[in-house]
This record gives sequence, structure tokens and C-alpha cells, in this order.
Amino acid sequence: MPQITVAIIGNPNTGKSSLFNALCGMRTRVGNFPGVTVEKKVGTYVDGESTITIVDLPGTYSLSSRSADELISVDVLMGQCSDAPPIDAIAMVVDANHLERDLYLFSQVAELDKPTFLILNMWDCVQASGLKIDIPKLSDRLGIPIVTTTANRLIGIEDLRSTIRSLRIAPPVKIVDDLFPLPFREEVHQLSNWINGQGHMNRRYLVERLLLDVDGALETRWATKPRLNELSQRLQIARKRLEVANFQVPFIETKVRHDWVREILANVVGRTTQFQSTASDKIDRVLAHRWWGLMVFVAMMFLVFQALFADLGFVSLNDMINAGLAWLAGMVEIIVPPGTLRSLLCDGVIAGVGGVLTFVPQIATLFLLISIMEDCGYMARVALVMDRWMTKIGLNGKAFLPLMTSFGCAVPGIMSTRTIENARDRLVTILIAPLMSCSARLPVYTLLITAFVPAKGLLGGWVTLQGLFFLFMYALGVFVAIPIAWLMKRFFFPSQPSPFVIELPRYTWPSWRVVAHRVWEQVYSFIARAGTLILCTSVLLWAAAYFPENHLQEMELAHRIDEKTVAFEASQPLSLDEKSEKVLDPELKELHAQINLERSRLIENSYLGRFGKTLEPIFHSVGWDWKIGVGVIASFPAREVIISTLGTIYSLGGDVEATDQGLHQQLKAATWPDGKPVFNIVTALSLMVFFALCAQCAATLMTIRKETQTWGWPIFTFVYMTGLAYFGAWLVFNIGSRIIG
Amino acid sequence: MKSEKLANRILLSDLKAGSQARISAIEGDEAVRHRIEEMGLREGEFIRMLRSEAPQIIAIHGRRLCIRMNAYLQIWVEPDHSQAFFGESACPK
Repeated sequence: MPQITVAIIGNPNTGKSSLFNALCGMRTRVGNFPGVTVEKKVGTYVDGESTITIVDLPGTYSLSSRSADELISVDVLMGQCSDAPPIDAIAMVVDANHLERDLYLFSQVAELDKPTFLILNMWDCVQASGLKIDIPKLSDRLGIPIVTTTANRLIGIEDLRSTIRSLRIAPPVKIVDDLFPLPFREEVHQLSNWINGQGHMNRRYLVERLLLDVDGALETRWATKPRLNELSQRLQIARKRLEVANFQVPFIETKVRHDWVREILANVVGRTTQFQSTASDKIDRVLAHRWWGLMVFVAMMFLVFQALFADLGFVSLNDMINAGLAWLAGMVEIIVPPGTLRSLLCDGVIAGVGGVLTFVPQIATLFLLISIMEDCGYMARVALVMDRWMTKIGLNGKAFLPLMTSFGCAVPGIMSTRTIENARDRLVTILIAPLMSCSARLPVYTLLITAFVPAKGLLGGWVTLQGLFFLFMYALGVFVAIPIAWLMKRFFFPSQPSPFVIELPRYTWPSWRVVAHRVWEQVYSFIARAGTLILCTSVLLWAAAYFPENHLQEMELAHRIDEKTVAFEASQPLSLDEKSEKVLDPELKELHAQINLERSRLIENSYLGRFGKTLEPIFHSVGWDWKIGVGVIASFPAREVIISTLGTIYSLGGDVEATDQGLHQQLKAATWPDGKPVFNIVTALSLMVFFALCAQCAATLMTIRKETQTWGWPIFTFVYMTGLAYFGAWLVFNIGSRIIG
Repeated sequence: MKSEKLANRILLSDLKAGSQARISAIEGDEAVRHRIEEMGLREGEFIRMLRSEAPQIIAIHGRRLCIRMNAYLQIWVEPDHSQAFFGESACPK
């Protein structure tokens, strides 16, 4: 079966994701390019006999090599990235309304000597505005095929597919003859000869980049190759010569490319000569306004967090998942006799992993709302509105967007800091990004808030108290990040906030395909984590809490309870409310009390219990018992593990009657040895504050390591956040206890 | 001729909302300038100020850019009172 691999490249906001989605649907894989924190998206589709692979490269204004992240796109396109398939053809996506801007990148792509074609996206806008583009003429001038599409409405996708089909036979085309003036070309030629002479293959585009990107990542990479240690020196001399000849590097590049674009577009694009105010401009009078914009943004965040707690059907969805899990546990209890295996399945796997899965609806909702804001073009306005405030802590508005992404997950958040040009600003943003409350904290907040904050409606039921607590927990990370960023900017990386330039895309209706796909990606990765990392820690923790005690007596009691329950239910007419009837049987009640006593003895004497008891003083000063303490320690690899560890601990050692009613009932039922409840609102808050501030995520720390290329920064992040978390929890517990009395 | 040009130029941030101008010079950090020029913001281009308070919003070739200048980036413009030329290709939606 013939294979063909096409890379998609384009400027930001050209609808690249919509196109990628329209072509590949759900058949995509998202990963990382090796060594850099750039997202790698690969999708496939079958077209007749052939399989087409699409590699989606990050949106960029320029194919340069200044940073390692930018260089990766060049590597992929030139087939020098070991982790990406060799590229057969390049599909360049442009916003048809902004050819002037987008063809700049095209002039670079065209120099790579690969079969290339142009996709004029957002074609419906061109038609609606009456803009005239002479496509045959443009296609003729460039010597390449041109396709027009409206990706978000799936228009032109078939044309696109057939263009890709016919590309197989098209020979490599030479689109751009040497753009640069003769002296520049001579320098490139000389350098290229010298590099060849030292025994290294090279391509013209790469040598151009070496010359143009002063101190860029490509220069660093090449200068360490054997016999090329003179490279930087030679580059400097060449740049000096060019400057004397009045061709200043790097501005010679922008000049020749923009001139080329102008030439290509002459008599191709008809222009109106008057400024036209657009609907987006009118919307921006509010959304981008200094105060109105800020208010709208805060209101939107408020609505997002209210929506997570509003009764929009998620609650019943959560109940359904819970009921499903209880049913599964019931089946296991029927099939598997009481013993180690039953305990492993019910207490370890179902109580552990299953508990985490009940939070999928909330996570999907959060990502749905964030993706909609991203896809309709609102995020650029958020950066604009926040710029004023971000400069006060020494950052610029662009740094706010990775922080917004971090509300979903810090890993893509840290990855998206590549849009911040200034290296110091970028580092500070990376270091505070894990303070934003990510979706893995959501289960923790949800569990504790539903259990310990009364479900009270305020302002006539429009606002819920639980929603307010939720908003508070999310705001906490932000408010702590402000002084941290300020301190770091002031003492570690003193520099002015970098200038701020961002493009404001037109507002569009979000494409539901793109949004659905993004939500699915996140939900899938959450479930995948539950199936791997969380499953492992659950089983390990279960083992630590189960062994080395002898469970014979407990098993016998469980047997008797099973028999009694069956006998009791047979003697009673079927009733809807079984649980309350069970309790009515005095003999069964006595057995339950016995088994609960036995269970707490067993868990306290287990390895986990002994370990937890030793550390209890540390937990005590923030108001936790040893069970919460070990749960917290076990969740350092990934914070959502706390749900499964608490599930396992309370399922093993907890009250059997509460087991069927979900984890939050068990937490409510937990007591200190003296009979006082472990949890009240203050303990719950102290635990939540700890989770809000603590660096309990191995994936985030690894991403920081990858991004900063040192172990120092991830260690620093871990230490400062954990210290802050313990201090915060201590503060909340001590002040809170005093208030409550 | 050069001094005449200089006398005419003002910082982008001093341009009033609703007025148009021609970019006469971009000064500041080399890397910052390179990036901005790649985005299409360069000498000789015509722009229109849409919002003059920082960060400014300008229109250039039917696009909207948001800019806040500082020591690393200064954009100088010559106000264009004729308001005759303006390359537009904006989507009406």
C-alpha cells in the first residue's frame, strides 16, 4: 500500500487545527518531539489504496533556527528529525485574507526544495468580503497547486485530498530562485564550501539560517561538530562583511522576503483602499477594554467554575459512574470469595482507580469551556487585558496564556511557554505554571467540597457556596503566584518586562470538531493515567495497607455477613431502600461493628499503618491523621492518586456501611481514636490548600527538566512548592481551628 | 532630508486613535525587531491606530496587532494626514 507523508505548516490563527481535524478525524496521536517541549501531532487517513500520514507542525510566523523549539520544525521538514517520518510534501496553510503576512513563511518553506502546495483557508471570508484573488495567476507565478478551503465548515476538503493524492507523481519544484542579493549568496556559497570541506553535508537553507540567526540554536549545534569550531568566528566575519556592504543581518532577510511577497501578489490580490471596521473591532471595544475586558474575563472564569458545580446533569453522571462501580464491586463479591484476591480487586483496584474515574465529567467540562475560549479567538484578548497587570510582576501579557493552559494541565502549559520570546520571562512563567490549579486537583477539590461545604445557594440560588469555594481554590494558586513571580523576577532574573506584540485574530464561532477533539485528548490522557500510574500506586498502596497482618478473622466475619445478608434479604419482601433495612437487623448490625473494629486493627498494624503512625506528628500540626498523611505522601508522583489512596485506605480500614455510598461518606465517617471526626471544614481546607500549592506531579517536573535542561530548576520548583504547601496548610489549620474554636 | 524626516516622526504610542500613519523606523533589540518584522510590522507600512492606550491596538493590512513598546522596542511613525492609502482586506464578519 503506498504511503505518503505530508507536513502541515502555517502561521498562527490560520485554522491549521481545523484542517488537520477535517483530514484525519480522530485518528491522531499527540506526543512530544525528543529533547524539546514541542507538541508532535501525527494523524493518518486512508485514501483509496494509500495511507496518508499528516504531521502537524506548531504555528509559527517564521521558519527560523533561533531557539531549539523553532529548529525542530526545520528538522522535521528537512527529514533530519529521527522521531518523525520523512516528509514527502509540505502543505502550507494560509489565511486567504492575509496573504501578505502568510506568504512570508511560504518564502522560507519554498526554499526547502520539497514538493509544496498552498492551502488558502478561510475562503468563505474572502468570498463574503468581495476580496478578489486571482488564483490561477498566483498558482502560475508560484508554480505550485493551490487549493481553497473553509476547514471549519468542511468545504474544500475533498479537493485537498485529491491534491495530496496527485502530489505523489509531482516532481520536486523549484519555487523560489535565490531571493537574496549577490553578496549574501556569495557568503552562503563560501560557508557552504568550507563546511563541505570539513566533511559535513549541508543544505543551502541551513547555511542561510546559520548566517541569519545570530547565536541561534543551529549555530550552537553545528559549532560543536568535529572540525567546525571555527564556525562562529567565520559567521561573525561574514556578517560584518555584509553589514559593511549595507546588507545588515538579520534585517536583510525580512526585507528581501517581504519584497518578494509584494512582487508575487502584485495584480493578484485586489485591495480596497479604505479602512474597514469589522465586527471583531466592535466586540473588542468591550472585550479588549481596560476595565470592561477585565470584568468580562473575571465573570467568565466565575461562570466556568460555577458550571463545574452547577446541576447540569454531571452530578447524576457522577452518581451513575459511582453506581456502576458499586455494581462492579458487587459482582466481584459474588464471584470471588472473601480473601486476598477479593480485597485486591475491591479495595485496591475498584476503590482506587474507579474513584478517580468519577471525575471525568468535570474534567471534560473544564476542557470544553477552555477549548471554546481558545478556538473562538478570545485568548489573545485575555493576553491583552492581562498585559497591564502582568507587567506589574515583571512579565508580559503573553505569559498569561501558558498559565491559563495550566489550569487544564501544567505540562502543555509549560510547553506553550515557547511563545514567550524572552528567556528569563519564560523561565519565571515555567516556574509558576505548576501553581495554577490543574485538572488533577479538580477531583481533590470536588471530593472535599461536596463532602464538607454545605450545598447552599446564595443570591436566590444563582450562586452556590460550593462553587464559590471552588473559585477560591483556583484563585489561591494565582494569588500565590503573583508574589512568587515578582520575587523571582526581582532577585533571580532582573530585567524589564519584554515588549508585547500579539496578533488579535478575528472572532469566529468555535469549530466543534476541534473542541471535541481537544476535550477527548485530555479525557483520554486522564483515563490512561488512571489505568497505568494510578493503578500501580493503588496496588502498591493496597499491598502496604493489607500486609503483613493475618486476615483470617476478618474473612470469617465477612463470610458470616454475606450469609446473613442473603438470608435476611430472602426473608424480607424486596424493598427499594435496602440499606436502611440492613441496619435494622440487630444481628447484622453487631457483625458490622465487629468487622469494622477488626479492620481498623488490621490497617493500623499494616506496613502502611506503622509507617503512617511514625510520621503522625508531622501530619498532626496541619490537622491530618496518619491515613490522610500517607495518602498525601503516596500521591507525590501524581496528585489525583490521593483519591485512589484514600479510597483504598478507607475501603480497607473504613466503615463497611459507608463503602457503598462513595468516598465522601467514608471521609465524613472517619474519626480520631477519641471519636471526634477527623474531617471538618478546616481539615478539608488545609488539605485542599496543600494540594493547591504542592508540586505533586512527576510529569510536570520532568517537563521542567526538559525545558530548562538542568535538574536544578525542577528541584527548586519541588522544594519551594512543597515548602509553601506545608506552610499554607499549617496556616489554614491553625487560624481555622482558632476561629472555629 | 534625514532631519526633516526625524522632525516629523512621533512614537506610535503618541498617535491618536482613528488616525493613520506610516512606520518610519523600528528601533530596539535586534532579535525583537527581527520577530516583529517577520510578523509584517516594518518600515514603510501604513497603519491605523484603533486604540491608543497601552497596549495599543493597530490595524495593518486588515489584521489587528496589539503592541506595548518599551526600551527593547520603539516604533516611530509619520502621521499620514491625507488618509488616502490604506491596504485593507478585512473579513466583514
